[in-house]
Amino acid sequence: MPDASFWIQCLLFLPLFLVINLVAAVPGRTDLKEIAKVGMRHFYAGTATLIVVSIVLYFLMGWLIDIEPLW
Amino acid sequence: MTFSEVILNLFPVFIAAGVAYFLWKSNARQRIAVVLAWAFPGAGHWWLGHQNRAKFFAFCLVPTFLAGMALSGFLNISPIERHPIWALAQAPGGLMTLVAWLATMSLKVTSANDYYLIGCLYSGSACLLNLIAMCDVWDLAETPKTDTGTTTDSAEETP
Repeated sequence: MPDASFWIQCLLFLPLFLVINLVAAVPGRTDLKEIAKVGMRHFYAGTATLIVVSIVLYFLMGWLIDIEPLW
Repeated sequence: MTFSEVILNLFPVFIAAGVAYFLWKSNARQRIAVVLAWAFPGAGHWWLGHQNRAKFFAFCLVPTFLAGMALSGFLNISPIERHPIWALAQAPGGLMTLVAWLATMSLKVTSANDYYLIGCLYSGSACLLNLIAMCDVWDLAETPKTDTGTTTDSAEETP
């Protein structure tokens, strides 16, 4: 299992990811409420995607490592 | 000459070409707004009269930049001697980067810090996100011209 530092680093990623999504939602939009709404939506969708892809890759790599070598 | 050496040697050419393109395509209002936005996040928007947008950029980017500095023990802003590669990311921070560098340049590394690179990432990301603010202020400061040579705003005012 990953150590505590790994989880802290993962948690530290989230605020930065939120800021990136909020700022990236600004160009082309005038209403700040809409910007916040779109930024939060992208943050939720991006975080969910990252978690799902990370879990899939984690188990995929574990399965690949466990395969008996052919030679 | 390797590929990376070619890129490094061409980098000043790309910068000069970008500045020349900026000067060629922009009007005076855009130049002032973009320089202000580069100097401090939101300053260009404030100058154009978009106070809420200016506050939004300032409240998003400045705390992120400072959080990065705090995470890395105030040792991450250093354009030349510590991390030249991070200087590329920190350059769009403008005065924010310059002031932080001058204020922390006398500090020395005394102990290992697990979050040093995360701090570099926070500050570097805040500075790179300032590029979005600069592009946004460029768009806001642009006054589109019509075929007759008059601006859109003045054309709307005429009956």
